[in-house]
Amino acid sequence: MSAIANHIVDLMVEKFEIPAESLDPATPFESLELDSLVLVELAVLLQKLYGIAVDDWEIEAAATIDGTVELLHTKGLPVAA
Amino acid sequence: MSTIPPSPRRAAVLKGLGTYLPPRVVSNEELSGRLDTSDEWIRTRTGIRQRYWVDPGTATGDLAFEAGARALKAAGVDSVDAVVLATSTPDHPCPATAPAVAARLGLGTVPAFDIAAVCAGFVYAAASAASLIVAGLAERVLVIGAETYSGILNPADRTTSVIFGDGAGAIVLEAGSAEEPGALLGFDLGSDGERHDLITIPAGGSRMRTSEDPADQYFTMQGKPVFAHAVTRMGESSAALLERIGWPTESVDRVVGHQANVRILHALADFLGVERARAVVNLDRVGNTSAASIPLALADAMLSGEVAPGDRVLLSAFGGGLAWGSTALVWPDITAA
Repeated sequence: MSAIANHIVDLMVEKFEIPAESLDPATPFESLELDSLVLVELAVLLQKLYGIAVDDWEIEAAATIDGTVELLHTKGLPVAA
Repeated sequence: MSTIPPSPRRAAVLKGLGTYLPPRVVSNEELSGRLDTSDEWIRTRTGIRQRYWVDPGTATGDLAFEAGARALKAAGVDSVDAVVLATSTPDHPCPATAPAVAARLGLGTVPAFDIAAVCAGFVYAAASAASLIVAGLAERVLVIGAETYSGILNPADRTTSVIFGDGAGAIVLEAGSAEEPGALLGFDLGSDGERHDLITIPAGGSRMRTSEDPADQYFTMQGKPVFAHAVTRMGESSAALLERIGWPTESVDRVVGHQANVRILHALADFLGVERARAVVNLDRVGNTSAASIPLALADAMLSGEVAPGDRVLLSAFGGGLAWGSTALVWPDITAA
């Protein structure tokens, strides 16, 4: 599991009050019953953290935190970051 | 060689604040009765509990007049050199709303004009007024943000209908020094017309005079991209302004962002790296009042003691255009009416 994925798990637990035990990098976002704005908020946080513009619908399509990390890499985030 | 101490930089200084809300409160419950929504949905998605809507017959200029009169009273003055009114819901497509408001306030034939920067309008109007003062064109300016969004909301649109409210807020700015409390210390303004479509009333302007689709006469907003742009634009604008005026982020006591959504205000605080508790929030009781939101939030924050003399206060707004702007001041010892 990448350090970035762990970081995003911590971020979501802290900012969106998601119980830590129900979230890991492979958890489908769909299963969390997030409201419609959470992925928008996550997109804004990731853009600020990593300087990479990402849209909520791209995160939604990426489906999990692991998928989101992959998305960030395809958009230029160094793999070793 | 004798040295003459440099004279303090001329600046626009806040002297008084006035606000006005129409009498009719519209609760989430009332809206839930006619739209497919609920108090719980509205509160969790937006933070809004209620908003004020005008009754038929009341126009934006009426609210602007009330708030303007109160600001003049709070500042203890009865004349100004200009009136700048921010609104996206003017009394008429033509002429501007400001001259009629100025005349009604007994301010004579002073220059009076409207600013159209939607929800960023108040900061743009303050920047215009401050520029008139700094340039020496005016000694004192009345700045008003006033809106009646209830008249442009699509009654069938459950997203925008629950968000917006009517209201007005006004400030008096006066020439002074950049070193005194209340001085507007700088501005950061910007726009991104590539995304003008995110917030729009499609019909009624020269691009589309009329439309067969009744929905085109109403305000529309694409909520998700607007949310993301609001946070990043206000965040970047605020950071740029703070850097320019030399305020470390941690020295900011209060962040008064445009009251669009409590989750935007919290995300803005996170973006800037300030505690969420420093974000002033009053949209729970007034909704999003567009160009009126910042003065209405400031008045509530004064009343609650959240903003007190000596506090470092950052103001940042974002809206259709897209347009955004930020300014900052050390809060002065003034009254609100």
